[in-house]
Amino acid sequence: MSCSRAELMAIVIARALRDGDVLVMGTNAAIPLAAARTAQGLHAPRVTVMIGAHGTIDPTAGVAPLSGGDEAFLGGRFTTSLASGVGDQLRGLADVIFLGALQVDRVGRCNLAVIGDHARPLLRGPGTVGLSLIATVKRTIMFFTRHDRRMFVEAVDFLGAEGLRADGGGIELIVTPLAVLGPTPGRDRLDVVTIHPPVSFEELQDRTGFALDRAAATTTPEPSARELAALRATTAGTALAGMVLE
Amino acid sequence: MGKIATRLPLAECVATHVRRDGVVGIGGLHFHNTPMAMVREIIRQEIPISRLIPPLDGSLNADQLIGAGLVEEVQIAYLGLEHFGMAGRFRAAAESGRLRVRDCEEGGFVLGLAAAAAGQPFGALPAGLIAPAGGVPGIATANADDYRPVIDPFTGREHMAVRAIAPDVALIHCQLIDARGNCGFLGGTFLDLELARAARICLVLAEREVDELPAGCRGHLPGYVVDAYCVLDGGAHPGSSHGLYGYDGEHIAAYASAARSDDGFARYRTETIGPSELHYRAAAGVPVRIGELAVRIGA
Repeated sequence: MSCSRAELMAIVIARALRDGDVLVMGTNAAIPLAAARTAQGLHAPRVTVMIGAHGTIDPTAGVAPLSGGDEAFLGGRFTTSLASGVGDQLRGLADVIFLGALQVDRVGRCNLAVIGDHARPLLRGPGTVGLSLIATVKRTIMFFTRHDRRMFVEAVDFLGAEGLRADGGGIELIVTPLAVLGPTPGRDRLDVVTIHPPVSFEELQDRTGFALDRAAATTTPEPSARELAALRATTAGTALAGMVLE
Repeated sequence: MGKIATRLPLAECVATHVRRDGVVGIGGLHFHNTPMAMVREIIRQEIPISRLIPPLDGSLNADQLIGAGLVEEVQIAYLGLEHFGMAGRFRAAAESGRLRVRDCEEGGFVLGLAAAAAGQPFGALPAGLIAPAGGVPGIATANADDYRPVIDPFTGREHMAVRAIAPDVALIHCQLIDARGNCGFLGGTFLDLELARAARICLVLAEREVDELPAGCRGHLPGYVVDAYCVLDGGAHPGSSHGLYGYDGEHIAAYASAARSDDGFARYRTETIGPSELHYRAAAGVPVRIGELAVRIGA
Protein backbone atom coordinates (compact mmCIF):
# COMPACT_ATOMS: atom_id res chain seq x y z
CA MET A 1 0.00 0.00 0.00
CA SER A 2 1.40 3.39 -0.82
CA CYS A 3 1.97 5.82 1.99
CA SER A 4 4.04 8.88 2.82
CA ARG A 5 7.46 8.58 4.45
CA ALA A 6 6.12 10.17 7.64
CA GLU A 7 3.28 7.63 7.73
CA LEU A 8 5.79 4.80 7.30
CA MET A 9 7.91 6.18 10.18
CA ALA A 10 4.85 6.36 12.44
CA ILE A 11 3.91 2.77 11.64
CA VAL A 12 7.47 1.54 12.25
CA ILE A 13 7.37 3.25 15.66
CA ALA A 14 3.87 1.95 16.42
CA ARG A 15 5.08 -1.63 15.86
CA ALA A 16 7.72 -1.13 18.57
CA LEU A 17 5.23 0.02 21.22
CA ARG A 18 3.87 -2.48 23.72
CA ASP A 19 0.60 -2.57 25.59
CA GLY A 20 0.95 -0.66 28.87
CA ASP A 21 3.88 1.48 27.72
CA VAL A 22 4.12 4.98 29.20
CA LEU A 23 5.44 7.27 26.44
CA VAL A 24 7.06 10.66 26.95
CA MET A 25 6.92 13.23 24.15
CA GLY A 26 6.62 16.99 23.63
CA THR A 27 8.43 19.02 21.03
CA ASN A 28 8.19 17.46 17.56
CA ALA A 29 5.42 15.14 18.66
CA ALA A 30 3.55 14.80 15.34
CA ILE A 31 5.03 11.41 14.40
CA PRO A 32 5.22 9.91 17.95
CA LEU A 33 1.64 10.95 18.75
CA ALA A 34 0.39 9.37 15.53
CA ALA A 35 2.40 6.23 16.35
CA ALA A 36 0.95 6.06 19.87
CA ARG A 37 -2.63 6.37 18.63
CA THR A 38 -2.04 3.82 15.89
CA ALA A 39 -0.64 1.33 18.40
CA GLN A 40 -3.67 1.99 20.63
CA GLY A 41 -5.91 1.06 17.72
CA LEU A 42 -3.99 -2.13 16.98
CA HIS A 43 -2.11 -4.12 19.61
CA ALA A 44 -1.52 -1.70 22.50
CA PRO A 45 -4.80 -0.14 23.70
CA ARG A 46 -3.34 0.73 27.12
CA VAL A 47 -0.48 2.91 25.89
CA THR A 48 -0.28 6.09 28.01
CA VAL A 49 1.01 9.33 26.49
CA MET A 50 2.69 11.90 28.73
CA ILE A 51 3.44 15.42 27.48
CA GLY A 52 6.67 16.38 29.22
CA ALA A 53 6.22 20.16 29.30
CA HIS A 54 3.02 20.00 31.33
CA GLY A 55 2.91 16.50 32.75
CA THR A 56 -0.33 16.04 30.77
CA ILE A 57 -1.51 12.43 30.76
CA ASP A 58 -3.35 11.24 27.62
CA PRO A 59 -3.68 14.58 25.83
CA THR A 60 -6.92 15.34 24.06
CA ALA A 61 -5.26 17.24 21.19
CA GLY A 62 -6.09 15.56 17.88
CA VAL A 63 -2.98 16.84 16.15
CA ALA A 64 0.24 17.62 18.00
CA PRO A 65 0.86 21.39 18.18
CA LEU A 66 4.21 22.56 16.79
CA SER A 67 5.38 23.66 20.25
CA GLY A 68 5.65 21.16 23.11
CA GLY A 69 4.69 23.86 25.63
CA ASP A 70 1.57 24.83 23.70
CA GLU A 71 -1.63 25.32 25.59
CA ALA A 72 -3.24 22.79 23.23
CA PHE A 73 -1.26 20.10 25.07
CA LEU A 74 -2.67 21.08 28.48
CA GLY A 75 -5.97 19.28 28.06
CA GLY A 76 -5.92 15.58 28.80
CA ARG A 77 -7.26 12.84 31.01
CA PHE A 78 -5.47 14.82 33.72
CA THR A 79 -2.36 16.92 34.23
CA THR A 80 0.35 16.31 36.82
CA SER A 81 3.28 18.74 36.50
CA LEU A 82 6.51 19.13 34.60
CA ALA A 83 8.58 18.31 37.69
CA SER A 84 6.61 15.22 38.67
CA GLY A 85 6.73 14.00 35.06
CA VAL A 86 10.52 14.38 35.04
CA GLY A 87 10.55 12.59 38.41
CA ASP A 88 8.70 9.67 36.83
CA GLN A 89 11.30 9.58 34.08
CA LEU A 90 14.21 9.70 36.55
CA ARG A 91 12.57 7.02 38.66
CA GLY A 92 12.21 4.64 35.70
CA LEU A 93 8.41 4.70 35.66
CA ALA A 94 8.35 5.84 32.02
CA ASP A 95 8.86 3.18 29.37
CA VAL A 96 9.69 5.10 26.20
CA ILE A 97 11.10 8.55 25.52
CA PHE A 98 11.21 10.08 22.04
CA LEU A 99 14.33 12.12 21.31
CA GLY A 100 16.35 13.71 18.56
CA ALA A 101 19.96 14.93 18.49
CA LEU A 102 22.50 16.89 16.47
CA GLN A 103 24.84 13.90 16.35
CA VAL A 104 24.59 10.17 17.04
CA ASP A 105 27.74 8.12 16.72
CA ARG A 106 28.69 4.55 15.88
CA VAL A 107 28.49 3.38 19.51
CA GLY A 108 25.21 5.20 20.18
CA ARG A 109 26.49 8.27 21.97
CA CYS A 110 24.25 11.33 21.51
CA ASN A 111 24.99 15.05 21.35
CA LEU A 112 22.79 18.12 21.09
CA ALA A 113 25.17 20.66 22.66
CA VAL A 114 28.07 21.58 20.41
CA ILE A 115 29.91 20.66 17.23
CA GLY A 116 33.60 21.36 17.78
CA ASP A 117 35.24 22.58 20.96
CA HIS A 118 32.91 23.36 23.87
CA ALA A 119 34.53 26.69 24.77
CA ARG A 120 34.46 27.95 21.18
CA PRO A 121 32.25 25.69 19.10
CA LEU A 122 31.89 25.60 15.33
CA LEU A 123 28.19 25.19 15.92
CA ARG A 124 26.49 25.88 19.20
CA GLY A 125 23.44 23.61 19.49
CA PRO A 126 20.55 24.14 21.87
CA GLY A 127 21.80 21.96 24.76
CA THR A 128 21.53 18.49 26.22
CA VAL A 129 17.92 18.76 27.53
CA GLY A 130 16.30 15.32 27.80
CA LEU A 131 19.12 13.26 26.32
CA SER A 132 20.34 12.39 29.82
CA LEU A 133 17.00 10.68 30.47
CA ILE A 134 18.10 7.89 28.11
CA ALA A 135 19.87 6.63 31.24
CA THR A 136 16.72 6.28 33.33
CA VAL A 137 13.73 5.83 31.00
CA LYS A 138 13.53 2.17 30.00
CA ARG A 139 13.69 2.54 26.19
CA THR A 140 14.53 5.35 23.81
CA ILE A 141 13.14 5.79 20.32
CA MET A 142 14.95 8.39 18.27
CA PHE A 143 13.46 9.75 15.11
CA PHE A 144 14.77 12.18 12.57
CA THR A 145 13.10 13.95 9.70
CA ARG A 146 16.38 13.91 7.75
CA HIS A 147 19.38 11.59 7.48
CA ASP A 148 22.92 12.73 6.64
CA ARG A 149 26.60 12.28 7.51
CA ARG A 150 26.65 15.31 9.82
CA MET A 151 24.15 13.59 12.10
CA PHE A 152 25.43 10.03 11.98
CA VAL A 153 29.11 10.38 12.82
CA GLU A 154 32.02 8.19 13.83
CA ALA A 155 32.36 9.93 17.24
CA VAL A 156 30.29 12.68 18.88
CA ASP A 157 31.97 15.98 19.79
CA PHE A 158 30.22 16.20 23.17
CA LEU A 159 28.70 13.45 25.28
CA GLY A 160 25.06 14.18 26.08
CA ALA A 161 24.24 10.53 26.79
CA GLU A 162 25.45 7.01 26.26
CA GLY A 163 22.72 5.66 24.03
CA LEU A 164 23.47 1.97 24.56
CA ARG A 165 23.24 1.10 28.23
CA ALA A 166 25.13 -1.77 29.82
CA ASP A 167 21.88 -3.06 31.32
CA GLY A 168 20.27 -3.48 27.89
CA GLY A 169 18.18 -0.30 28.03
CA GLY A 170 18.66 2.86 26.06
CA ILE A 171 18.25 3.32 22.32
CA GLU A 172 15.95 0.70 20.88
CA LEU A 173 15.27 2.23 17.47
CA ILE A 174 16.43 5.13 15.38
CA VAL A 175 13.87 5.86 12.69
CA THR A 176 14.82 8.14 9.81
CA PRO A 177 13.33 8.88 6.38
CA LEU A 178 15.78 6.33 4.90
CA ALA A 179 16.03 3.46 7.34
CA VAL A 180 15.76 2.02 10.81
CA LEU A 181 18.99 1.77 12.80
CA GLY A 182 19.38 -0.01 16.10
CA PRO A 183 21.84 -1.72 18.42
CA THR A 184 23.59 -4.86 17.18
CA PRO A 185 22.65 -8.08 19.03
CA GLY A 186 25.81 -7.66 21.16
CA ARG A 187 24.73 -4.05 21.87
CA ASP A 188 28.24 -2.78 21.24
CA ARG A 189 27.38 -0.44 18.36
CA LEU A 190 24.63 0.79 16.04
CA ASP A 191 23.88 -0.77 12.69
CA VAL A 192 21.21 -0.75 10.05
CA VAL A 193 18.15 -2.85 10.87
CA THR A 194 15.89 -2.22 7.87
CA ILE A 195 15.97 0.05 4.83
CA HIS A 196 12.83 1.76 3.54
CA PRO A 197 12.22 0.93 -0.13
CA PRO A 198 13.24 2.20 -2.64
CA VAL A 199 16.38 3.40 -0.75
CA SER A 200 19.46 1.32 -1.60
CA PHE A 201 22.13 0.18 0.86
CA GLU A 202 24.67 2.28 -1.08
CA GLU A 203 22.62 5.45 -0.69
CA LEU A 204 22.09 4.76 3.03
CA GLN A 205 25.79 4.11 3.58
CA ASP A 206 26.70 7.21 1.59
CA ARG A 207 24.53 9.35 3.88
CA THR A 208 25.74 7.71 7.12
CA GLY A 209 29.09 8.70 8.64
CA PHE A 210 29.96 5.30 10.11
CA ALA A 211 30.21 1.86 8.51
CA LEU A 212 27.06 -0.21 8.27
CA ASP A 213 26.89 -3.96 7.72
CA ARG A 214 25.17 -4.76 4.42
CA ALA A 215 24.41 -8.29 5.60
CA ALA A 216 22.47 -6.97 8.63
CA ALA A 217 20.02 -5.01 6.49
CA THR A 218 16.59 -6.21 5.47
CA THR A 219 13.76 -4.28 3.87
CA THR A 220 11.36 -2.35 6.09
CA PRO A 221 8.11 -4.34 5.93
CA GLU A 222 5.49 -2.39 4.02
CA PRO A 223 2.57 -1.15 6.12
CA SER A 224 -0.35 -3.53 5.91
CA ALA A 225 -3.81 -2.33 4.97
CA ARG A 226 -4.83 -2.82 8.58
CA GLU A 227 -1.92 -0.74 9.90
CA LEU A 228 -2.56 2.08 7.46
CA ALA A 229 -6.26 2.07 8.22
CA ALA A 230 -5.51 2.27 11.95
CA LEU A 231 -3.11 5.19 11.37
CA ARG A 232 -5.46 7.07 9.08
CA ALA A 233 -8.36 6.57 11.46
CA THR A 234 -6.59 8.89 13.92
CA THR A 235 -6.54 12.67 13.55
CA ALA A 236 -2.82 12.67 14.37
CA GLY A 237 -2.28 10.10 11.61
CA THR A 238 -4.16 12.04 8.95
CA ALA A 239 -1.78 14.98 9.57
CA LEU A 240 1.17 12.91 8.32
CA ALA A 241 -0.02 12.27 4.77
CA GLY A 242 1.20 15.65 3.53
CA MET A 243 4.27 16.01 5.77
CA VAL A 244 7.39 16.65 3.70
CA LEU A 245 10.64 15.03 4.85
CA GLU A 246 14.10 15.41 3.32
CA MET B 1 7.06 37.57 58.46
CA GLY B 2 6.28 36.80 54.84
CA LYS B 3 7.01 39.13 52.01
CA ILE B 4 4.54 41.92 51.34
CA ALA B 5 4.12 42.16 47.60
CA THR B 6 4.26 45.68 46.20
CA ARG B 7 2.74 46.70 42.89
CA LEU B 8 5.18 48.82 40.89
CA PRO B 9 5.36 50.25 37.37
CA LEU B 10 7.50 48.06 35.10
CA ALA B 11 10.56 50.33 34.84
CA GLU B 12 10.63 51.01 38.58
CA CYS B 13 10.15 47.34 39.45
CA VAL B 14 13.14 46.31 37.34
CA ALA B 15 15.30 49.25 38.47
CA THR B 16 14.56 48.55 42.15
CA HIS B 17 14.91 44.78 42.26
CA VAL B 18 17.19 43.58 39.46
CA ARG B 19 20.63 44.48 40.75
CA ARG B 20 23.62 44.80 38.47
CA ASP B 21 25.77 41.68 37.98
CA GLY B 22 23.29 39.40 39.68
CA VAL B 23 22.00 35.90 38.89
CA VAL B 24 18.68 36.12 37.05
CA GLY B 25 16.22 33.27 36.46
CA ILE B 26 13.37 33.47 33.96
CA GLY B 27 10.07 31.57 34.07
CA GLY B 28 7.83 30.00 31.45
CA LEU B 29 8.88 27.47 28.81
CA HIS B 30 9.96 28.18 25.24
CA PHE B 31 7.90 31.27 24.32
CA HIS B 32 5.02 30.38 26.61
CA ASN B 33 4.18 32.36 29.76
CA THR B 34 7.49 34.14 29.85
CA PRO B 35 7.86 37.71 31.23
CA MET B 36 9.05 39.35 28.01
CA ALA B 37 8.26 42.93 29.08
CA MET B 38 10.64 42.51 32.05
CA VAL B 39 13.31 41.12 29.73
CA ARG B 40 12.90 44.14 27.45
CA GLU B 41 13.10 46.49 30.42
CA ILE B 42 16.39 44.93 31.60
CA ILE B 43 17.71 45.54 28.08
CA ARG B 44 16.56 49.19 28.14
CA GLN B 45 18.19 49.76 31.53
CA GLU B 46 21.28 47.82 30.39
CA ILE B 47 21.57 45.83 33.61
CA PRO B 48 24.48 43.37 33.34
CA ILE B 49 23.74 39.79 34.40
CA SER B 50 26.55 37.67 35.80
CA ARG B 51 24.64 34.45 35.20
CA LEU B 52 21.39 34.03 33.32
CA ILE B 53 19.20 31.00 33.98
CA PRO B 54 16.56 30.74 31.25
CA PRO B 55 13.64 28.33 31.61
CA LEU B 56 14.33 24.59 31.16
CA ASP B 57 13.60 25.35 27.50
CA GLY B 58 14.97 28.86 27.03
CA SER B 59 13.90 30.97 24.08
CA LEU B 60 13.96 34.55 22.82
CA ASN B 61 13.85 35.73 26.45
CA ALA B 62 17.48 34.63 26.92
CA ASP B 63 18.47 35.22 23.30
CA GLN B 64 17.58 38.92 23.53
CA LEU B 65 19.48 39.50 26.80
CA ILE B 66 22.50 37.76 25.28
CA GLY B 67 22.12 39.78 22.07
CA ALA B 68 22.11 42.99 24.09
CA GLY B 69 25.55 42.00 25.42
CA LEU B 70 24.36 41.89 29.02
CA VAL B 71 25.05 38.23 29.86
CA GLU B 72 28.41 36.99 31.04
CA GLU B 73 27.44 33.37 31.54
CA VAL B 74 24.34 31.31 30.79
CA GLN B 75 23.23 28.11 32.54
CA ILE B 76 21.01 26.06 30.25
CA ALA B 77 19.41 22.75 29.53
CA TYR B 78 18.07 24.03 26.17
CA LEU B 79 18.20 27.38 24.44
CA GLY B 80 16.64 27.66 21.01
CA LEU B 81 13.55 28.85 19.20
CA GLU B 82 11.91 25.41 18.86
CA HIS B 83 10.20 25.17 15.45
CA PHE B 84 11.40 28.70 14.62
CA GLY B 85 15.00 27.44 14.56
CA MET B 86 18.18 28.16 16.47
CA ALA B 87 18.63 31.10 18.87
CA GLY B 88 20.78 33.36 16.69
CA ARG B 89 22.27 35.68 19.29
CA PHE B 90 23.06 32.78 21.64
CA ARG B 91 24.79 30.95 18.80
CA ALA B 92 26.84 33.97 17.77
CA ALA B 93 27.94 34.75 21.34
CA ALA B 94 28.79 31.13 22.19
CA GLU B 95 30.56 30.42 18.91
CA SER B 96 32.74 33.52 19.27
CA GLY B 97 33.79 32.42 22.75
CA ARG B 98 32.38 35.61 24.34
CA LEU B 99 29.66 33.80 26.26
CA ARG B 100 30.44 31.14 28.83
CA VAL B 101 27.91 28.30 28.73
CA ARG B 102 27.20 26.08 31.72
CA ASP B 103 25.58 23.09 30.06
CA CYS B 104 23.06 21.27 32.22
CA GLU B 105 20.47 18.66 31.29
CA GLU B 106 16.85 18.12 32.14
CA GLY B 107 17.17 15.93 35.26
CA GLY B 108 19.81 18.08 36.94
CA PHE B 109 18.05 21.31 35.98
CA VAL B 110 14.75 20.20 37.51
CA LEU B 111 16.34 18.69 40.64
CA GLY B 112 18.65 21.71 41.05
CA LEU B 113 15.69 24.08 41.03
CA ALA B 114 13.64 21.82 43.29
CA ALA B 115 16.59 21.66 45.72
CA ALA B 116 16.87 25.45 45.87
CA ALA B 117 13.09 25.78 46.29
CA ALA B 118 13.32 23.52 49.36
CA GLY B 119 16.39 25.28 50.76
CA GLN B 120 18.73 22.37 50.00
CA PRO B 121 22.33 23.05 48.93
CA PHE B 122 22.31 20.50 46.11
CA GLY B 123 20.33 17.67 44.58
CA ALA B 124 21.63 14.14 44.24
CA LEU B 125 21.10 12.57 40.82
CA PRO B 126 20.06 9.01 40.03
CA ALA B 127 22.92 6.65 39.17
CA GLY B 128 24.02 6.83 35.56
CA LEU B 129 22.18 10.04 34.69
CA ILE B 130 25.40 11.86 33.89
CA ALA B 131 27.60 9.73 31.67
CA PRO B 132 31.25 9.73 32.77
CA ALA B 133 33.13 11.28 29.85
CA GLY B 134 35.33 8.66 28.28
CA GLY B 135 37.54 10.30 25.71
CA VAL B 136 34.78 12.73 24.72
CA PRO B 137 34.02 15.86 26.74
CA GLY B 138 30.59 15.86 28.36
CA ILE B 139 28.61 17.53 31.10
CA ALA B 140 30.66 15.73 33.75
CA THR B 141 33.87 17.37 32.49
CA ALA B 142 32.56 20.61 30.95
CA ASN B 143 30.42 21.77 33.86
CA ALA B 144 32.11 21.24 37.22
CA ASP B 145 30.37 24.45 38.34
CA ASP B 146 27.12 22.55 38.61
CA TYR B 147 27.91 18.82 38.57
CA ARG B 148 30.27 17.17 41.03
CA PRO B 149 30.53 13.70 42.55
CA VAL B 150 29.38 13.21 46.12
CA ILE B 151 29.58 10.25 48.50
CA ASP B 152 26.24 9.00 49.76
CA PRO B 153 26.70 9.13 53.57
CA PHE B 154 24.34 6.19 54.01
CA THR B 155 25.75 3.69 51.51
CA GLY B 156 29.23 5.03 50.76
CA ARG B 157 28.47 4.94 47.02
CA GLU B 158 29.51 7.76 44.75
CA HIS B 159 26.79 9.78 43.03
CA MET B 160 26.66 12.90 40.92
CA ALA B 161 25.30 15.97 42.67
CA VAL B 162 23.87 19.07 41.02
CA ARG B 163 24.31 22.45 42.67
CA ALA B 164 21.06 24.09 43.78
CA ILE B 165 19.84 26.58 41.19
CA ALA B 166 19.19 29.62 43.38
CA PRO B 167 19.00 32.89 41.44
CA ASP B 168 19.14 36.31 43.09
CA VAL B 169 15.96 37.22 41.29
CA ALA B 170 13.27 35.25 39.48
CA LEU B 171 11.10 36.82 36.78
CA ILE B 172 7.72 35.07 36.56
CA HIS B 173 4.76 35.63 34.29
CA CYS B 174 1.20 34.73 35.26
CA GLN B 175 -2.24 35.71 34.10
CA LEU B 176 -3.95 36.94 37.28
CA ILE B 177 -2.80 38.48 40.53
CA ASP B 178 -4.57 39.96 43.53
CA ALA B 179 -3.49 42.91 45.67
CA ARG B 180 -1.65 40.61 48.11
CA GLY B 181 0.44 39.25 45.25
CA ASN B 182 -1.28 35.87 45.12
CA CYS B 183 -0.82 34.57 41.57
CA GLY B 184 -3.25 32.61 39.43
CA PHE B 185 -2.11 30.63 36.39
CA LEU B 186 -4.70 29.92 33.71
CA GLY B 187 -2.46 27.49 31.84
CA GLY B 188 0.92 25.80 32.17
CA THR B 189 3.01 26.47 35.26
CA PHE B 190 6.09 24.62 33.94
CA LEU B 191 8.82 25.12 36.63
CA ASP B 192 7.55 28.55 37.72
CA LEU B 193 6.37 27.44 41.16
CA GLU B 194 9.82 25.99 41.86
CA LEU B 195 11.73 28.94 40.35
CA ALA B 196 9.73 31.52 42.31
CA ARG B 197 10.72 29.81 45.56
CA ALA B 198 14.28 29.06 44.50
CA ALA B 199 15.13 32.76 44.10
CA ARG B 200 15.86 35.28 46.84
CA ILE B 201 13.66 37.88 45.16
CA CYS B 202 10.59 37.03 43.11
CA LEU B 203 9.14 39.51 40.62
CA VAL B 204 5.87 38.78 38.86
CA LEU B 205 4.53 40.21 35.62
CA ALA B 206 0.78 39.63 35.57
CA GLU B 207 -1.69 40.29 32.77
CA ARG B 208 -4.54 41.44 35.02
CA GLU B 209 -5.13 42.34 38.66
CA VAL B 210 -8.32 40.92 40.16
CA ASP B 211 -10.10 41.32 43.49
CA GLU B 212 -10.21 37.60 44.00
CA LEU B 213 -8.58 34.71 42.08
CA PRO B 214 -11.34 32.72 40.37
CA ALA B 215 -11.79 28.96 40.70
CA GLY B 216 -10.35 27.14 37.72
CA CYS B 217 -6.79 28.44 37.92
CA ARG B 218 -4.48 25.54 37.10
CA GLY B 219 -1.76 26.71 39.48
CA HIS B 220 -1.15 29.21 42.23
CA LEU B 221 1.71 31.01 43.87
CA PRO B 222 1.10 32.54 47.28
CA GLY B 223 1.72 36.25 47.70
CA TYR B 224 4.24 35.67 50.50
CA VAL B 225 6.69 34.39 47.86
CA VAL B 226 6.36 37.58 45.77
CA ASP B 227 8.40 40.75 46.41
CA ALA B 228 6.93 42.96 43.73
CA TYR B 229 4.63 42.75 40.74
CA CYS B 230 3.68 44.65 37.62
CA VAL B 231 0.40 44.47 35.76
CA LEU B 232 0.53 44.75 32.00
CA ASP B 233 -1.77 43.15 29.47
CA GLY B 234 0.29 41.72 26.62
CA GLY B 235 3.45 41.59 28.75
CA ALA B 236 4.29 38.10 27.50
CA HIS B 237 4.13 39.14 23.82
CA PRO B 238 5.45 37.87 21.41
CA GLY B 239 5.10 34.73 23.51
CA SER B 240 1.79 33.30 24.66
CA SER B 241 -0.05 33.87 27.90
CA HIS B 242 -1.98 30.65 28.37
CA GLY B 243 -5.71 31.11 28.72
CA LEU B 244 -5.53 34.62 27.25
CA TYR B 245 -3.59 34.67 23.97
CA GLY B 246 -1.40 32.48 21.80
CA TYR B 247 2.15 33.21 20.66
CA ASP B 248 2.72 35.62 17.79
CA GLY B 249 4.35 33.34 15.23
CA GLU B 250 4.87 36.10 12.68
CA HIS B 251 6.74 38.24 15.19
CA ILE B 252 8.85 35.33 16.47
CA ALA B 253 9.74 34.24 12.92
CA ALA B 254 10.77 37.83 12.08
CA TYR B 255 12.84 37.97 15.29
CA ALA B 256 14.49 34.62 14.49
CA SER B 257 15.54 35.99 11.14
CA ALA B 258 16.74 39.34 12.59
CA ALA B 259 18.72 37.54 15.31
CA ARG B 260 20.89 35.80 12.70
CA SER B 261 23.03 38.94 12.30
CA ASP B 262 24.47 41.66 14.52
CA ASP B 263 22.81 44.32 12.40
CA GLY B 264 19.48 42.56 12.37
CA PHE B 265 19.43 42.34 16.15
CA ALA B 266 20.62 45.93 16.54
CA ARG B 267 17.70 47.05 14.37
CA TYR B 268 15.26 44.91 16.36
CA ARG B 269 16.58 46.44 19.57
CA THR B 270 16.29 50.03 18.37
CA GLU B 271 13.13 49.83 16.33
CA THR B 272 11.09 47.21 18.16
CA ILE B 273 12.25 46.98 21.79
CA GLY B 274 12.83 50.73 21.71
CA PRO B 275 13.18 53.18 24.59
CA SER B 276 10.00 52.19 26.48
CA GLU B 277 7.40 49.45 26.75
CA LEU B 278 4.94 51.95 25.32
CA HIS B 279 7.15 52.14 22.24
CA TYR B 280 7.27 48.33 21.99
CA ARG B 281 3.50 48.03 22.26
CA ALA B 282 3.05 50.41 19.35
CA ALA B 283 5.92 49.04 17.24
CA ALA B 284 4.82 45.41 17.68
CA GLY B 285 1.10 46.19 17.56
CA VAL B 286 0.59 44.39 20.85
CA PRO B 287 -3.03 45.31 21.64
CA VAL B 288 -4.20 44.32 18.15
CA ARG B 289 -2.08 41.15 17.99
CA ILE B 290 -3.17 39.77 21.36
CA GLY B 291 -6.76 40.43 20.32
CA GLU B 292 -6.23 38.44 17.12
CA LEU B 293 -4.46 35.67 19.03
CA ALA B 294 -6.99 35.59 21.88
CA VAL B 295 -7.74 32.13 23.19
CA ARG B 296 -11.37 31.44 22.44
CA ILE B 297 -12.76 29.63 25.42
CA GLY B 298 -14.47 26.45 24.33
CA ALA B 299 -13.32 26.86 20.71
